[in-house]
Amino acid sequence: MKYLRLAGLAFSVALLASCAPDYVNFPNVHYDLASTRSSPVKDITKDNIKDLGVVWSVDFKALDPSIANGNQNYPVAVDGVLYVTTGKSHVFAFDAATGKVRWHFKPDSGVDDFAKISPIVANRGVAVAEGKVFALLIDNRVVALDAKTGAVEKIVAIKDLYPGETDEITGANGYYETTAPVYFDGKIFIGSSGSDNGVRGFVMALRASDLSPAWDHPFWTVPPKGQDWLKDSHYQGGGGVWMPVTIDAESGLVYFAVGNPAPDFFGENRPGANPYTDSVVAVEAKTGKYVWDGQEIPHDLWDYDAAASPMLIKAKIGGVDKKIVVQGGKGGLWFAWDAATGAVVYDGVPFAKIDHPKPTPEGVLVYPGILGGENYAPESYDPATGYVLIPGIEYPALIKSATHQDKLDKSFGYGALIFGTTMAATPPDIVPYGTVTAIDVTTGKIVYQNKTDNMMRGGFTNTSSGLAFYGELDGIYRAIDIKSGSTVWEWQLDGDNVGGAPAIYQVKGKSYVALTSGGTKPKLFVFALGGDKTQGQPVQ
Amino acid sequence: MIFARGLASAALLVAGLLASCSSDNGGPVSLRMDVQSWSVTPWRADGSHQASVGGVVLQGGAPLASAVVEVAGHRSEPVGPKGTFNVSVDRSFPHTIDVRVVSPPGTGAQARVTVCYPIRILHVHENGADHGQVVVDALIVTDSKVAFLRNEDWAVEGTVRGADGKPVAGAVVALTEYARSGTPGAHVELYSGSAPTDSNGRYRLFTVPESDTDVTLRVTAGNQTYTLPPNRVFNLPEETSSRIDIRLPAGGTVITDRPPTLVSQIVPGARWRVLVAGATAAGDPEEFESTVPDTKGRFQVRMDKAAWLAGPVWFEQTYLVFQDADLEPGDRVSGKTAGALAAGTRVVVPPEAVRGP
Repeated sequence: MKYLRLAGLAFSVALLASCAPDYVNFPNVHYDLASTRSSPVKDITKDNIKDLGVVWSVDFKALDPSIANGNQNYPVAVDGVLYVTTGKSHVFAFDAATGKVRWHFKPDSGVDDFAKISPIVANRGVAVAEGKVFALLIDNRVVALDAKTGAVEKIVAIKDLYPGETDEITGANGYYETTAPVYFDGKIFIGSSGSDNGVRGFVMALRASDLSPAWDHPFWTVPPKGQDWLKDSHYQGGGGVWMPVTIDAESGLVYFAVGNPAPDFFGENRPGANPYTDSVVAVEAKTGKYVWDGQEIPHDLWDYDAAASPMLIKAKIGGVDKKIVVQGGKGGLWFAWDAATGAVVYDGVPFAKIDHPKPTPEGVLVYPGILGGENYAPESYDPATGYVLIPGIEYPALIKSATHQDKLDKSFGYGALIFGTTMAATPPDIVPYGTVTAIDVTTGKIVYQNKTDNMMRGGFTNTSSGLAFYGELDGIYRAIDIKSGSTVWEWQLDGDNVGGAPAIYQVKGKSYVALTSGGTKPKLFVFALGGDKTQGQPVQ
Repeated sequence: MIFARGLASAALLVAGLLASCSSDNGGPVSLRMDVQSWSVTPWRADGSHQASVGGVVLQGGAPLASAVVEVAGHRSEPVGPKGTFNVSVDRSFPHTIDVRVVSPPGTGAQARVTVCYPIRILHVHENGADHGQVVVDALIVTDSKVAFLRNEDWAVEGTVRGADGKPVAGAVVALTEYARSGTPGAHVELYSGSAPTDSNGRYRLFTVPESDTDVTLRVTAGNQTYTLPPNRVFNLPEETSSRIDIRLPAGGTVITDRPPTLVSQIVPGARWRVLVAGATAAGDPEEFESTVPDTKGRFQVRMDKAAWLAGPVWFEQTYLVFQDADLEPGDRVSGKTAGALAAGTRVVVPPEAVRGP
């Protein structure tokens, strides 16, 4: 009898050993398709976090001096490989435990040429699936790389996907790509930047197998030029979807946040609410068919994109189990909609100072400013507390309206009017800062709001032990206790500002926290318990 | 001899055609769409401009459940058990969708769905000055707010020269928005950039930001980027093109922002987007003469009487036209209009969408 029980015990141990996963992945740009950024890793706690230190790091410019300044990447970790992107659309695969470079994809000269036009060269991440790594290149191309070798399997220009329909998706027309593709059900889903340049925003689905279009048409977020609310406007459009989409794998719906209408600060020539700008939109993943939209700011005059990826959350609201989609916009309001119908659940919870008079030619000070509110920095959701964390910015902007209606007096003849440069209208001397706002999704009420030293540009990543990590623009890296909001760990990076949030993953039972920093010395830092405790110098 | 060879070729061709139209099961494979043409239905926020069209693949009149169809050259899909499939159609712009059977291979079975504005012919008369020519007054039919002619944007153009006054080739000129670039932690959201300068140092860029935006200027030449002095910006003049001639500094990277190193003036020129409807002789798609539609969609076509009597091919095509003078309704446009670039693809209007006077 005793013998038998012992044998049983041994068997259980063997089972446990063989079932312990080699890896806990951070498989998508925002962890899961629901974009909750809530890692299942739980062995880093507020009690042992003091033992966190750097186990490996990367100086990107040491690997390749041509890598651009800044970094806004959200790393992805799959089966022991960490996939990180940099400015100018480089992609790196590192051994996730040791930092050894497995491969480095350096784009061709098309990206360098594009960087001469666009000062923006950010890239926010990749999708990993079907043995491939998918990324968007700044010059409006999509690349599929072999996940093992980094070899290019295919590159397509987005303008070539639908001849006659997508021809104008080019840099010359104001489009550029900074977002990360998201993989689901054999397809990758992409959007683009360029709202402020008057592009026509879109979401497309491409087949992961060959990067061919998976839908019969793109989903366009605004009308074609010359129709509906864009009938009369010059330099018009907008509605870029410039952060990754969120997907409900159960219902097959895709949710995305749509940017501002253009012109940004002048609305006379774009009458009405300007759907679907500053909105969250749901479409069918299979076909791209419109399902619902919820608009945060009708007829935006202040550049108040819905920018950050929405989150899909299952929660008990008013005693009823619900599936909701939540999003906080640059306008400083946080919304929740029924995921299936788009019915409003929480109708704009303010999490920032809001005071935005209509812009005048002389200029008005508007709150939030052009950075938000909540910019592209993602929220996170903690299922244990039911708290959503919102990364906020408090920085008003001086906005002048355009005066398009005054026809230029050309009676004096061309060439006679010489114009020159002037002094820039600099914003008033106001010190910007940031906020961490916790909202209880069961009530829609703010539980706490804490100030941060700097504007929140990177967003959050949670652990299942109740911690949330975020980085600051001065290179300070923090962890807070989600329940109380109090800081439990602080670290000065030996780098520059932080414009992303970490991937938190495990390799062979050991937990890692991988975060990039930007500025003039873009770097990657990977932390683990027992790592090196040498910190950097404060950033000026 | 030649005659006999011709006969043999014809016989081979017929045999080949027959083979390509049938499959192993005997009967010919055919593809039928429920709708062959749609009127353009302008974009609506409720998605009602999107439509679904059914199709069916038949063999000898019976559903062919094993077929695979290819839609618009990019999407392949097996048909359902009844040989049916669906194509979603964005009806908000003129275009065509070609559908063909790719499995079984070699059947040649295909169909086309056309989305276009219907054309109504209002009046046909002989050209008084040229009796061999007809003048056709016609109408682009729409029941909605559509701008057939729009002022798209203006240009900023000029030259880039070195400190020695010689043109700099291969330089890129870009405009960015100052407000954001001057904001801590912010990103430069607005931009427009030129193609590299030509051998005369000439550049041109479009997508000029809205006015009253503080705009900075950057020039990238070689590996060096040149900028305006700190805190100096342009407020570009409205509703006109501009010319900015730039002379790069001999040392440093700052462009001195006054003449003669930076000369800015207003110049004519604007870019227009226009939907052109026209008619050509069959087989001669570039030879046409039409006019810019007015706000109601009325336009006028001129063509040889013989071609008209033989049956013209009606088409719709969007053009981007850059020219000094304003483009106005009634202005003549042709396949040879200077500064005109076709945007999108040309759509042939099917006969059922053209109504006579």
